[in-house]
Amino acid sequence: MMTFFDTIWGKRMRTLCAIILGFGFSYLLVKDVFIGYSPQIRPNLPQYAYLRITDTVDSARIAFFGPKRSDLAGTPNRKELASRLSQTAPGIRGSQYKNASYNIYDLNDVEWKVVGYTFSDGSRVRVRFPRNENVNISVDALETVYNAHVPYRAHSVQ
Amino acid sequence: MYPIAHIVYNNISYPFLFHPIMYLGPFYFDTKEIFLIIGGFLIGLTIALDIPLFWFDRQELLLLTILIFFTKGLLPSIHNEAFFLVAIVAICSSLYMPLFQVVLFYFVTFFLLRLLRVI
Repeated sequence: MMTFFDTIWGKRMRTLCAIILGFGFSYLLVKDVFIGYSPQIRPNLPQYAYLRITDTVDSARIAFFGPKRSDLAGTPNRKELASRLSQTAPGIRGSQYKNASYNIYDLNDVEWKVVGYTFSDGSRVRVRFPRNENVNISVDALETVYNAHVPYRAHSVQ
Repeated sequence: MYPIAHIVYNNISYPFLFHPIMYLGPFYFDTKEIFLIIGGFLIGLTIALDIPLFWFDRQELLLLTILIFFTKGLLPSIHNEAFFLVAIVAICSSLYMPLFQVVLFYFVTFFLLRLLRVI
């Protein structure tokens, strides 16, 4: 049985769809698979592709099924919290009310302490925290977060 | 080199006064392929004589012409319409996109045309 897509106009419509999809796929390939508009393929492509897909799915899930603005009714808003700000440490002003907290960090005024960590592959990183903060982070968790953000850092450099 | 060709249809002859065809050994070049070859030579001439083409990059155009020429040779003539639409879109998009993306677009679109059973 001959449908619309089998007619000459249907063929033209399929050609147009192929052209539009071609633009989309070529843009995706250039942005995520190749580096710098050259034939060089991203060296960490499998991990990067996995992170991009999971982040996209998470973003869509939060956008469609996440908490709505009406779900936050009853919690104190930013104006109420900002009116209760008090300085807790040099450069840090904070307030807390019921189940919400609000902190303002003046990065130039904060007194930092630098903590060094050694990852499992032998590489060292230095992380700075506010001086008075009770730092209780495990090396494994830090390494996971650090490695998870390296592909994005590499992408943003381009 | 340009024989006068006649097309006979329903016993009525329609003379074609100018229908260039070219045989080069076992290869047969139709009008479109000849124009692509002439276009490629003209673009090469502008590169050799350093004649600027407005808005277009001459080397990108030459590469695209060569790509179109070789892919034209691989496709049967019944798919001319889709083929030339993609070729013209690729040439125009070379004004707005980097050449690597244009080449990717060209090959991805051919793959999609095959997938959608256009060619």
